[in-house]
Order: sequence, then structure tokens, then C-alpha cells
Amino acid sequence: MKKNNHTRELEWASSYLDQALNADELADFAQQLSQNPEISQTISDFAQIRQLVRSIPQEKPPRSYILTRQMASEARKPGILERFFPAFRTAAILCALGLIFTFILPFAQTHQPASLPAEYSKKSIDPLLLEQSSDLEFTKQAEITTAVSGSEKEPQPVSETQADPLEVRKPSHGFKGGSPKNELLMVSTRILPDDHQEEQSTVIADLAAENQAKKKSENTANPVIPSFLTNDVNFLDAILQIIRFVFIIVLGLSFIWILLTIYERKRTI
Amino acid sequence: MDLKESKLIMRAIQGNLDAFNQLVVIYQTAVYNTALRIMNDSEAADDITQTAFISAWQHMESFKGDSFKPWILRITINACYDEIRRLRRHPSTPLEPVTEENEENEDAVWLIDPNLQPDEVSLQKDTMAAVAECMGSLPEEYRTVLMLIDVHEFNYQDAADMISKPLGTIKSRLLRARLRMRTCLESKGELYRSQNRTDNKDLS
Repeated sequence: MKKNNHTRELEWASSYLDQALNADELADFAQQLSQNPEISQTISDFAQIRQLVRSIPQEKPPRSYILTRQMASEARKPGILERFFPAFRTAAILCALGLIFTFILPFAQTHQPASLPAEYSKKSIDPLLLEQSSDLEFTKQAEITTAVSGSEKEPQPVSETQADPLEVRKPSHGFKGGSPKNELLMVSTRILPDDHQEEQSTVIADLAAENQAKKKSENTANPVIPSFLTNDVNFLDAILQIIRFVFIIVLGLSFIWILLTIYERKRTI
Repeated sequence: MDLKESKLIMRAIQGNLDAFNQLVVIYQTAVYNTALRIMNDSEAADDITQTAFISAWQHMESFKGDSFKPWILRITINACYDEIRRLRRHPSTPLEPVTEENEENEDAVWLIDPNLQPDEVSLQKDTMAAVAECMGSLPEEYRTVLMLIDVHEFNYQDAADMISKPLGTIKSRLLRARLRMRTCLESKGELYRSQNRTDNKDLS
């Protein structure tokens, strides 16, 4: 403990000489200095040593060390690490950006734009056809009403098998709580293609043909996504994986090269 | 750092050899003497000085500080340490100055100021020889710190940065260097015989 205190006093004496004590140390040291005259002797010795060392005359260099053009050009000739450093640095930046891009790209492809027409969606029902089928139902009801009230023909008994085909084809199936339009939505797929009534079939067929023509004209204006793209998603993914792999390899190599160059620079300075 | 030096540094960084050579002229004495004190060998100091300036020119683009002197001295000290390590691995020449007869040179004539009178020369010759010998006897890490702080008057933090050591190491190395110098100079009778000592006694 005493030895440690002595070492600390000596260190403070040395630092005091160089004005390297902070305020607290200086206050403590001043107290020690007043109590221990040996410290002032030590400071005096250190001051003398410093003066002697400082008084050693500077030796004149034996020659001038000015660099000639040749020496300078040879010295600045970069090594292999330095020569390829800019290329690897650029490659690292580009690969990092490319890698980020390859991770963003798949998200951009899977996102469906809001403006895509409804008919491109798999489960959509043509609203136009739906509207027309509603009109058709209304017409049918009117025809039935007319037939019942003012027909010349005698009313025929209706058997279960001869029941109104529309009624048979369009049972409620217990759809509750929805609007009639929603109910129609539920059964619409059954009504339209399988209509056995000749008149209705003709009308619906006409409507379908008309709709198809409309769709065709719209599709010409807004072409549907080519099928080969959707079919070859796996192929594109594979390509993307390969590109990522190449980027990672180049990035790794570039990092190693950059680290080696920096280490070499630090080592020589 | 004055404006002229900062301009020279900027131009040297841009690859201007003339600007760099002006910096060489300004600092070559300090660099050579630093190498000489660490190596105790004028030939080695000569080689190291040239190597240090070439290395500085090579890495001028990586210069980030605001003063050239600590940077070039750091390069010099590193070059000295490299040379000392090389000599330790392949000991061919002694580190101490030697005469032609391969005896230790205690005169240290290279330290004497040529402008002094004969009696002063004799006095200074003895003192300088003693100081040089005592400095030479220090381990190089103590010698380096003593030189950076007592000769070049760097502060502790600058010295710590230059040799990449903590501040505490610098303080303890400096203390040990001074204590060893005191013991050595006392043994040679130089510490109490000089005029400086009398002054110091009067002061105390």
C-alpha cells in the first residue's frame, strides 16, 4: 500500500512537471507536496533530466531526403490490393443494391394492381350478365302472370315433374338473411349455362354471346397477363435465386478484398 | 498548424510532389533525430528517415489529421520498431554506436554543438555523452516516450495516439524512463554537477 502510494506520488510528480494533472489530482498533490519534501526533490530531478534531454543538440541529417520523381512514382506504384480496391469497392456497392432489388422484386410481382379489371379475377361474376339475368327473371314473372290471368288456353294441372323449371332450378337452399340479389348470386352459375327452356336458352345464349363479344373487345384494349408468365413462375424464381447467389458471392469476395486492403494500409502506416 | 503547412499538406494529398518535398525539408531534421535517438545508429537512422518519407508519400491519401509532424513521427517510430524487431531476429550489427574498432563509442561526438568554446565543449561533451549513454541504455519503449514528451514536447495524449498505447501506459513509461535516467545520471555524477542542478537547488 505504501509502495503504491509512493509510485502514485512519483507519477503525480512526473505529470505535474508536464502540467498533466487534473484539478482533483492537483489538489491532492499539493497536499502531499506540503507534507513530503522528497516530492519537491523528485520534481527538481525530473525537471533537470528533462532539460538535459532537451538540450541535446539536434543532429543535422547527413543528406536531404527530398524524393525524386522516379522515387515518387515507384513509391506510388500500387500493389495488387490497392490496384483492384476501387473495382471491388464498386462491385460491393452494386451487389448490395442488386441484392436488395432482388428481394424487393418478388413483392412487386405478387401485388395485384387495384386497376385490374374484375373479369381477370378468378372468382368474379360478370356484373353485366348478373344484371341481365335479373331482368330476364322479371320478364319471366310477367309472362307467367299474363298467362295465368288472360290466357286462351285452359289451365293445365301442374305435376311435380312439370313444375316451373325456373322454380325447380332455383331453390332457396336455405339462404337466409341476404337480399334477393345475393340469393341470385348463389344460384347464378346454375341458371345461366343449364337452362333447358328453349326461349330462355336462346335469350341467355344471345346475352352470353353479346357479353363474350364485349369482353373480347375489352380484352383487346387491356390484354390479360400472358399465361406463360404465370406458368413459368418457378423458372423465374430459380433465375432470381441464381442471381442472388452470384451477388452474395461477389459481395463476400469484395468485402474480403476491402478488409485486406484496409489491414495492409494500417499495417504500413 | 499554420496556413502554409495546411496548404502544403492538401497539395501533397492531391499528389503534388513539390509540396510534399517542402514538408520533407521542414521535418527531415526532426525525423532523422527521432530515428537516431531510438536506433542509436546514424546509418540506420538515415535509412529509416528515407523509408519513413517514402512511406508517408505512399500513404499521403490516407492522411486524416491536422498536423503533419505527429503523423510522420509515428511512421518513423513504427519504422524504427520494425527495424529493431528485424535486428533482434537477425542480429548482425549492435544497436549501440560503435567505433571502427568495433568498441562501444562513449564519446557521442555526434551530439556536440560545434559552436562552443573548447572548455565548454569539454564540459558539454561529458554531459552530453552521459545523457546520450543513459538514454541509450533505456529500453526503446521508454526512450521513445521520453523523446516524444521531453524532446518533441508532445502532450501525453498525442504521444499515446502516436504509439497507439493507452494514456496510463504513457505516464508509467515516462515515469520509469525518468527514474532510470536519474539513477544513471547520478551514477555518472552528472545530475548534481551541472549548473542546472544548482539552479534547481536554489529553486527548491
